[in-house]
Amino acid sequence: MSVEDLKEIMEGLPPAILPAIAHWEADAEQLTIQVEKGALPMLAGHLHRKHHARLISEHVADERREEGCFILYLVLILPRDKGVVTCLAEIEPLYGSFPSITSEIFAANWFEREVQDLFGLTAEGHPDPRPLMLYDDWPADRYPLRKDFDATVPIPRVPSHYAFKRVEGEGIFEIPVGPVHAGVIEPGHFRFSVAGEPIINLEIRLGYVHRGVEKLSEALPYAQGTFLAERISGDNGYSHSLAYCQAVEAAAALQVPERALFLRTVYSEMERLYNHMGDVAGIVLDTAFTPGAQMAYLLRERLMGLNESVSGSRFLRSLNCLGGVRRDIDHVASLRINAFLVKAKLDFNDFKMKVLGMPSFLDRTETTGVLSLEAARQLMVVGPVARASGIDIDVRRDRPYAAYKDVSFNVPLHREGDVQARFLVKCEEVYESISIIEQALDQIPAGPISVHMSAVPEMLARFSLVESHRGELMHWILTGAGCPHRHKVRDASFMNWPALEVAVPGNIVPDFPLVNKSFNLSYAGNDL
Amino acid sequence: MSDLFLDLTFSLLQTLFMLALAPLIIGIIRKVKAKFQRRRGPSIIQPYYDLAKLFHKGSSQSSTVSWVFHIAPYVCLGAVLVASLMVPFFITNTLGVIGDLIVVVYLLAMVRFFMTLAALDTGSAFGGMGSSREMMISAIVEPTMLLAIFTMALITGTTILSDISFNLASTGLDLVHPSLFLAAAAFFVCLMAENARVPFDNPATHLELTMVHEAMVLEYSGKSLAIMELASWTKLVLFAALMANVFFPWGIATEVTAQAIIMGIVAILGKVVLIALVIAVIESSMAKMRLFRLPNLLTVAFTLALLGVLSYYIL
Amino acid sequence: MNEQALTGVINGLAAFILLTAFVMVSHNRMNQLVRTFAIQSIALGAFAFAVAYYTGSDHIYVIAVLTIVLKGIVIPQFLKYTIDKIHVRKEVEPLVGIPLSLLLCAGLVMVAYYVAEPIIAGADAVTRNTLAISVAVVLIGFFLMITRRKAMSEIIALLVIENGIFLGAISITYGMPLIVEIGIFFDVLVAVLIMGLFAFRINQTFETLDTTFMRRLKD
Repeated sequence: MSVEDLKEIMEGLPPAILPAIAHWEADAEQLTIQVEKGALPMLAGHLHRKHHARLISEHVADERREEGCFILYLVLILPRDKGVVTCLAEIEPLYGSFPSITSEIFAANWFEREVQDLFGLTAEGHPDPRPLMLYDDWPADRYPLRKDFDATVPIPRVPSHYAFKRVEGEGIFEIPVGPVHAGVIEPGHFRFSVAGEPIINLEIRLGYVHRGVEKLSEALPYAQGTFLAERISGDNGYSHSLAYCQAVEAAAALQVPERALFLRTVYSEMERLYNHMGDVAGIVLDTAFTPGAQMAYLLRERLMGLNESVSGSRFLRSLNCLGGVRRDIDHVASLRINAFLVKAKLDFNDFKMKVLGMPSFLDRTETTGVLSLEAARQLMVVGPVARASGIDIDVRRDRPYAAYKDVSFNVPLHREGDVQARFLVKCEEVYESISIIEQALDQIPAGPISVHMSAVPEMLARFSLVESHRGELMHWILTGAGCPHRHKVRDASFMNWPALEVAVPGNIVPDFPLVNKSFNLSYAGNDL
Repeated sequence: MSDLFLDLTFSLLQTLFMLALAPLIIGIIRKVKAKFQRRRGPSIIQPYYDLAKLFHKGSSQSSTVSWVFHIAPYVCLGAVLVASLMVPFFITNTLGVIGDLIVVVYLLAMVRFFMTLAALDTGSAFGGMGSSREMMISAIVEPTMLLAIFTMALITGTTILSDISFNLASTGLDLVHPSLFLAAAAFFVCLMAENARVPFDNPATHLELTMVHEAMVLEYSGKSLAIMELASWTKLVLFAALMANVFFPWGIATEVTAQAIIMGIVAILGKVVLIALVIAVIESSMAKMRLFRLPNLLTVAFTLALLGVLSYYIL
Repeated sequence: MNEQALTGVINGLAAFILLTAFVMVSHNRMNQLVRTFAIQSIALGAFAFAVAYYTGSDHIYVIAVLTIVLKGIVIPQFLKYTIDKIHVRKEVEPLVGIPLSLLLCAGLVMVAYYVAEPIIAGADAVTRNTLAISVAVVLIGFFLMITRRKAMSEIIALLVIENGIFLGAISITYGMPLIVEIGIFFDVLVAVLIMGLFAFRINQTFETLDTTFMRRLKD
């Protein structure tokens, strides 16, 4: 989208907002509007309603030392990459509050609760201002992302109580599940209110694996940040480190060599492949059709073996560096990948035929855990979950990074929004991923795989979007001296968790694990 | 008098046999399922090790439990064993005098009753869920099971289980009637439902929210868990024995001679292992049903049993 | 083979045919319905074989082969092809729930038995007992047709009725003259082809096979 179009957005703003705008500028990339905080809800609401802007992130940076205030950033993206709009608002440290935009854009709900927890700034008018991220026994006056918070000092524990929503009525009872689960699952607490088997309400309480990633990153030099990013969420580590690198490279205005871009595409898709394989296997396993699930698990294991033989790491770790990638794929390896994918495709066909040919599987997954298009739009979900509910978004196509503009692929779309639709979207994406890898390996140009990193200017805000297997994830970096001044991470799971709360009610209790599995959300990626 | 003594001896022998065999059958089912999943799977005698391990472990329990929770494992195992006394295994000499098929069916109902009581007793949410699901299933399973066995009683003219076996086995194929197959099919569905197999329940799951049987024994540990497990495993063998000896008793020993008894043991082992294989194959070839779809399948079974009775008169 | 064993086989097959009819009532997926129908037809063919063996009449052998080939293989294949073409996989919720349907069908079996009893009393064929079953299969076929909404299931229901009538014909009279039977087979085949085409057209015109939407035709 051109600068003119972004300027047009400015001209179309309602007159009531105009006096509140302190400053704005538009370049080919994005439109930045600095606005008085009081006008934020109106501006956000306008952009959402009129231009169908989707919320990418709402976060705060502590710039009290530099600017004398906190700054709230609201990152919105216009559909089909018609540009990005970033709204900034200053929050004076004295008042410590900002107007909530949740009533305008519902997806801002968790973002604002997170800001409240980590910065101690109040979201005024927020419909549900309970804590979200920090542990229940965290003291009320410690805000870890403020610059004056010393992360080396142990935090005292104070007893407290979290108030769950209560559904009351005859025959309604609560089932608490977790945070510690049977089996190897991350921690999260689920509070069901049920009337017999049907679920009336589900409330999800997360934050049990909050490790302070964003705080940690503020003390890590850029070159080491890739390793931290990789460890945000184990199975989409490559996507996270890619997003981090891209954000830093954008800040340094660094041109990554072509060959590295293609390699990044290949690695990204290899990550998606093995994860999707695990996801579809998990869905089938939760319907208790173990032999079918085992077919996909076997493929996943072989794909991870391929990852290891190509990159030296089953989880594709340590492949990215600022300015390129660390490891090349030579001709022999690329032949091996191609040969493997041909076979994998056939095996996956067998799996798909077997599972989809089974009435008991179809019966179980059809109409289970429906996320309606309406709800999906409201919550601004991303990734396969969005595509299964009929929202046609995919960062790889809408805002191509790495070498995605040089390969052609389809974005599978289903409208039903049930477990089966999510299963099918993932199955179809497997074929697209295979095709993308084949195309990328075919067209890969010769040349260096990385360039030397140049200096990163200070106080520059850049962000990068990457389509991980769970969906769009974002790394937003405000550069500082040698390390990020503020590093905001938003995993796809952060957008999709609230959708699970919406999709589950109306289903019966024994179907919950299946619905949960079909969303396949990361706890660690959400908790940070 | 000596007849009664003989019946008593054989009853006890057969019951012990079933009890000893139960973990092996479970081991076989697990092994076959593992093969279908392209896994090597644990050894078929692993369940014996599991039991031995559990018996040596300490046990912890919820603070809300009452005496029901403590006696439930013993009542369950006891009821299963008493029921086994009346079910022919390799020979038709059993304690038929103490009870007929109705007693057996309701002894099994007692197992279920105490298991659900114990699950409710723990005060855990999962126990309550498991109990309510179990009751939903058993409300249809019980009449189906009774009807299916009644069909056999009609055909053979007796309600004493060992006499049903004896009459069928000793008259050759003359008593074979289409009703037998209908009733057998119905009974097999009951077998799957009562023993918490796929598509009714998933014995291998770790997801508390989907469990039926497992949710009920979730709070047991150590020795009492071992007894609970042994009771449910023996119940599976008991059902397999009913399936084998009430519907297809050919091969069972009908007289007390060494040759007949050896034949009988070989026959019943073959049949029980065959049933275990069938269970494993079914569990490996379908997904678990949605909970509220279970009544559909159970009603099919009930109708089959009903048809069994009807077609006895029609054909 | 002695007569008693043969009677056992004949009765067993008849019971099995009734069983498949019940299984069909419990299905709500098209390809399951078609598969069970194919099994039912093959069982019917086997039944005809048994009767042919018993009576020693050659033309029943021909009919048995025709049944297996046409109803057991050709028609199911054609139906499967049509189903794949028009993407109708599942019956919407039947008008009557499945558990209730099954119980009602069990009632229909009793009605059939009651209706057939006077006829059975006067007959002396070895297959006389299966008359009640054939009436039951016909009634279940009607029931299926009434309670299902998709045109495809209704076609299959019609075929079930036809199977029931065929079973009845063999049971009472050891089959009709060959020429009549072949005529009927031809009729059924053509009917299925035409109905399949109709289903295809209905689907194209209304974008659904749900016959409740056909009311629009009145306007």
